[in-house]
Amino acid sequence: MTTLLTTRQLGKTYQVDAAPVPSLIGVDLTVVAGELVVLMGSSGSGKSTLLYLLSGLERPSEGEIDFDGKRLDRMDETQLSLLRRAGIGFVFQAINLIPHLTLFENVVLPGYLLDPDRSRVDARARELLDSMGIGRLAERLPAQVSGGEQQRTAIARALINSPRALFADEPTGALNSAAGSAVLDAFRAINARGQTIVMATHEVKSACIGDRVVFLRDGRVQGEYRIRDSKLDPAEREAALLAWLVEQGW
Amino acid sequence: MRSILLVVRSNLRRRRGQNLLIGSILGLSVLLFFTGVGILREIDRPLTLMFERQRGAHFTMVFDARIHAPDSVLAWWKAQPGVTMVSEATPTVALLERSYVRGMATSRFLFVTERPLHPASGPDSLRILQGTPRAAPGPGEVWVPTSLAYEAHLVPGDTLEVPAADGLAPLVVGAVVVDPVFSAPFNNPLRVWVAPGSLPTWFHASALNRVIASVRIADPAQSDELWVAFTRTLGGAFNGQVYDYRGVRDGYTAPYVLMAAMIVAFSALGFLVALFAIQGTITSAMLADFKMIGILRTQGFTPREVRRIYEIQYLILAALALPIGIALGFFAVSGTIDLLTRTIATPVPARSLLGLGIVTFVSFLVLIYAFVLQVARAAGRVRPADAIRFGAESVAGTARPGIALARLRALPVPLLIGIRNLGLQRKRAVFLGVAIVFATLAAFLAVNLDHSFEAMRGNLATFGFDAATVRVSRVGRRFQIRHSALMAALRGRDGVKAVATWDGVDGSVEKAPGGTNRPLFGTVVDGDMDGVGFENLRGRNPRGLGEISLAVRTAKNLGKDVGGRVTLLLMGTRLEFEVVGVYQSINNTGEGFRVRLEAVRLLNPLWEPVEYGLVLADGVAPDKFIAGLEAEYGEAVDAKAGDYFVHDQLVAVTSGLRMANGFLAVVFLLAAAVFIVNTTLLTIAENRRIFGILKTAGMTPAQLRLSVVSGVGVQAALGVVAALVVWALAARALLSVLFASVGMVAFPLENSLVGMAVVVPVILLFCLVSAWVPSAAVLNVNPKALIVE
Repeated sequence: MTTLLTTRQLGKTYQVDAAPVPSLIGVDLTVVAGELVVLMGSSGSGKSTLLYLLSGLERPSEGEIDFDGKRLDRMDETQLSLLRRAGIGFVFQAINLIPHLTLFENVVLPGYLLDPDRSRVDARARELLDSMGIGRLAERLPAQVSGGEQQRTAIARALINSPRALFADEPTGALNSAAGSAVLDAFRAINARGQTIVMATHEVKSACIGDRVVFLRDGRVQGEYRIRDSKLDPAEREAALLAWLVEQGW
Repeated sequence: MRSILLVVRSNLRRRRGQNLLIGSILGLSVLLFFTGVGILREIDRPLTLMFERQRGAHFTMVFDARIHAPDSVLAWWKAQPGVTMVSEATPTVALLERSYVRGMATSRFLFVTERPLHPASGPDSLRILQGTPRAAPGPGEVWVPTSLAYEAHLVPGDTLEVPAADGLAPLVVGAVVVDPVFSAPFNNPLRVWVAPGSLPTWFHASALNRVIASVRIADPAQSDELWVAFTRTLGGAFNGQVYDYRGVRDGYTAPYVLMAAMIVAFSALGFLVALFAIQGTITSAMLADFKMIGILRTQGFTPREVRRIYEIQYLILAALALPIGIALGFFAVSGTIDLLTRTIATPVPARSLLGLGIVTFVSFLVLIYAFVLQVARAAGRVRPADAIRFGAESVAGTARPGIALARLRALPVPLLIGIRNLGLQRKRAVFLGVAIVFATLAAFLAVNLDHSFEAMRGNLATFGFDAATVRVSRVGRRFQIRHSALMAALRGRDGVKAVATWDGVDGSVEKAPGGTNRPLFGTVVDGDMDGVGFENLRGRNPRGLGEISLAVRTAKNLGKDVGGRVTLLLMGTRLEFEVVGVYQSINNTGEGFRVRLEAVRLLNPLWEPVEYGLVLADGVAPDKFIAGLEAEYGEAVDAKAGDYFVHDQLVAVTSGLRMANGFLAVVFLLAAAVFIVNTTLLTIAENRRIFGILKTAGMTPAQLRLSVVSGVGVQAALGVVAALVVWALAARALLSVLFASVGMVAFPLENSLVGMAVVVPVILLFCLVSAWVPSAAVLNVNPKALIVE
């Protein structure tokens, strides 16, 4: 098992009206390649901040982050950009497709940044859209498809450059239950093919697709729960996780 | 109302940068408008003021006292109702040769006039700008008009050498004066003043027959009527030279009116662009405020109150920005007019621009308010729930922007994004594109007009001169050669292809038999007019006694064309001519005529031409030819290259135009820069989410900036191409319309390919830099903007 991501005493402090407000304090975390790690916590617990630090979208105030053997916290803006381009995919709760590009164009755009062979990028984009079950919608604009279809497009976009890690921030938060299930199925499927995923969520059902849940509270890691170790059916697994979360003070 | 003002204050504070940009666009557009209209409106005023203050003469007559008795001429004028002042008849010598300053010939011919001892109550009072104020020049002194002093760089203490009976007589400049009729930069000849009774010191008695007399009238509109009555008393014609108010005024203002018209034309177009930009900017600002509007609506603000926020907000901005633009415009107008009318040293009084300033301020305020009213309707229609949940993006439609990505996929990603963004904001892209087109056209105008004037050296015929490669003046005093002998010698000389004379004569033409006659300066030609390159727009050059060609403005004013007949009053005699040609000329603002020497000889058999134009055969070097001619004839002739007088005589006209064009180009470049900076910042502000996505997708800081700049680059490239097309199709026609007022109805535009080749990359670079600097704002976009809290 290869370690993909490690943090040591990771912290982030924001300045609000010149007063320091700690958002994340002393986080030590390790993510193994191929793992699906779920970050959970209530609103303001620091899970989104942690996700942004891990993906290089934010810089830590203190501590270290190793990503694929490189010190992410020491990279300059251009190095971070190149890392995000080749090694990291990101899926948002607000989906964030570019509204004036078609689904296909949304997917190929990051691919064009990395791969000069545009035909190869186009082919991979079509393959990804097909695998997400939305190939027939490729030429539509985001406003012309459902929220679930938009989010699956966003997943395809995040995968276009075959990233080492895929980060997802509340990917089902803006979707109805059917659309949310389809998105979770997609995550499950790509994780099954070996894709490392770090997902922040506050939904127990969503968290149950992970290998491990990291629970954050007030900016600190409160505890970890290994889901796939328990040999329970989905309903029992959900109940067990909920019980653990309540125990942690959720 | 208090709550509305609270929101307005907050909006003004939190969007300082954007408000500054909107304010700058408002200020710039009002500056352009005020400058153009101000110059056009005020250009006459310094002259009018100066004429009023210095009692300028409406008729200045130079005549031979043996032909018209000065006493009876003056008595007639004094007896006319409407005549307010008549001067003495002052002795004057009209110099037929050039004077010299520091060994260089002056470009103007001179009237040397004795200053009366008691001129205080007469017309044409002099204002001494440099030198000691006195009633009249001292012995050996000369007072020179500003027009000559500025051109020849004369100051008190310098020496002006005038051709006198015994060679060049050195006169010490005692003062530089504003002489109402002769301080115009484009007049020729000019008047210089010497001490009373001093002319016989330098000139033979035979040269002392001329006098100069001035008349001032109450109403300049009566001048034609009075002049007709005057010439009738003389039996139909005045035998001398007359400078009337209309000619003096044209001499001052014609080139400047042309410049001001160009500024107004450009500022009107620039103002339209600015209005569009303002509208687009306000719309964008409101779109960005949708969420805030939604919150206000939930708090009980009515649609009307929401609209009122924007009305007040932009009225405050306009009320702050417009006065600044108008104040700068005031300095631009007064500075430009002071510069243009330097020779009359009469600044535009500030109060004369106050009314225009107030009207401009109120008009712009009303216009901006009308725009805001119309645009703010959208703010009133915002649905609170949508606005809070989705912000401005809820209004994004499903219309597909222009070019599909697949077509652009060969391009680098930043360029691809830049081009796609153009399709998203088409209206704004068009505004910016138009601004760039104007800036480029203004730069083309500056470069190519400059080049066209430079090209006059090799293109004199199209400007109304001939195409002579060598000019010869028959100037000898002691060793004079007669015209017939010199003409024959030149015709027979090796290397000479064609010879023609070219001398001036004063005349006047009747618009209708017995009606008003207009004083005109004409050209008397002998020899091969076609061979020396006299060109016509229509018809041909006169070949015989009864034929005439008319300058295009004269032909238009008289309503004559080829085949028509005109009556010319020449040397006191009425002569009938057939119009055989119409030509254009920048001389005398497109007024004049050309007749053959035979016509003048009919009236005065002793009339001798002085100036000759020669076209040399191919391969004959002008320098060697001139040297050979001067070696043979000594001081009897003065030979120069054919274009020598271009820089001397026309430098004042062309330098003024060049300056105005340069000013225009700079103003439009600055306007384009403001639009570009504004558009760049707005584009970033409105697309923070999209730039956040691109940042997350791995675009580097440089690529993010390039994606912003490349859009402007494409617009600049398209704008420059559009400007090139417009220039190629319309420049000649446009310049011909503009220059028609100075007689150039078919402007001989000479494009400077090198100049344009420099302008194009400079404009592109300027646009890219103007976009690159503010594009740094995209680096501040934080992907956290993508999080839904």
